[in-house]
Amino acid sequence: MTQRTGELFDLGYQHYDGPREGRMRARKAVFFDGFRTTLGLGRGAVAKALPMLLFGAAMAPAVILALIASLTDGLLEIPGHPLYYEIVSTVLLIFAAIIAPELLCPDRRNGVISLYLVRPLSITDYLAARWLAFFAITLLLVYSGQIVLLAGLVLSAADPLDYLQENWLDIPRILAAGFVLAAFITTLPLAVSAFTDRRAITAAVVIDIFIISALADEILTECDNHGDSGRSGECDPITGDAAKWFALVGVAGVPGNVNQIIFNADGEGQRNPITSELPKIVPIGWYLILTGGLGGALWLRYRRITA
Amino acid sequence: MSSQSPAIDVKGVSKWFGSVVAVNDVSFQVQPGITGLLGPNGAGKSTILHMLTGKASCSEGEVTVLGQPARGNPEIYWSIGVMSEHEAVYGFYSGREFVEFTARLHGLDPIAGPVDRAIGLVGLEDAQHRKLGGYSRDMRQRMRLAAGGGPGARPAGFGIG
Repeated sequence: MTQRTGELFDLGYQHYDGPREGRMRARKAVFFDGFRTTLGLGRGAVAKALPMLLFGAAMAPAVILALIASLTDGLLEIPGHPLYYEIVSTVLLIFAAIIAPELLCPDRRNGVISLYLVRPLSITDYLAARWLAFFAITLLLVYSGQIVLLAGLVLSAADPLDYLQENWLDIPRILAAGFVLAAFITTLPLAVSAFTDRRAITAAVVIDIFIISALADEILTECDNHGDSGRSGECDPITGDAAKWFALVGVAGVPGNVNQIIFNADGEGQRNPITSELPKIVPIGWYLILTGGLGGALWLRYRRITA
Repeated sequence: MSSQSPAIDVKGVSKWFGSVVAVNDVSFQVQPGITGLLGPNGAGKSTILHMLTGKASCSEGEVTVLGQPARGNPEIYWSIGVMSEHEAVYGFYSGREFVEFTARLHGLDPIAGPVDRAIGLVGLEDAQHRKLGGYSRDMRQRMRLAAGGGPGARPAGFGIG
């Protein structure tokens, strides 16, 4: 019997002894990868088309409103900043439901998650970077629309400087309300994506949650007087005093209720005026519980997956 | 590293999944150099490698790599490179973009030099700007090797098969 011998080839391996930036560098890499993935950057035209289409759809109301304001020289009253968030929230929800799962589902389905788990990153780092990537894009989207609208309103005012002096509070309100909306719209689809590997299922579940909860909200807070087309007039809800609590059921209205408090809007843009009968802390608390709970569910699910 | 200080130290390690015992009271030490772990199907090789690389917890016992606990210790990955059999890659990245991405995950800065060396080591300089999705399986494996152990890790690498 011949004895087989092996041979090792030295290919000149050199280990790296240069500077390292620490874990923040790794977090940034995941963040920017998430940013690119969301917008389809570095990929084919098809990957870019959907985000760009939805981006355009979310910006369109602001551009149209700003154009109307500037073309009519402010003579025609157009919806203000609180209502803008209400108008675009549906598009934003669709945007989030379709695009956000792309950040998590394929990594698990295709086994790319292993790539991250054997790098100097904790699963919390990975999730936080992915969350922040989508949050940053959503924030950019909502702020861009509001800036366009603000520009339209300022330029159409008889005296732009006077307008700004009178409405300067709108700027911090826009920032705060945009933050609230973006955080919610980011967290919900990402939390749902943690429970399925399929993007389409996540998108369907998120959209169903919004539709079903909105229907439940409508039914539970419907006015007894059928002649009343809306809730802005006299309304005697069929569920009586409990209606103001049932009005919290509509998931789509959760950030909207907080936005109305931020803008101190009693009438304009109120999706659900009936919730204004509740102490302000209730819609805010409900928002924090729901957003925090969904974020917690996302984190716990990943802890379990990677355990 | 001195011969008294093993690169890998496995002490009384067991791993079970429900009622199935995958690894039963295994102890060994690995010194610096090249070591292969051989055994028949179902012997628990992959399970041990998963525990060595911190991807799985031990039901019992302790694993240390370069003197540090392997599990729940992301800092250990500054020092080791791991390439697993089932790990996928992003097909839309070029080979070079993929290695650069993993170099960033390893906190390297600047990355150009180490990435050039890693890609050169696996002999894929000519294909580095092509999309990974168009690579053959062999080329993809080599680029993964460049990404997994090339740019940032010290010579304490694991190949999980």
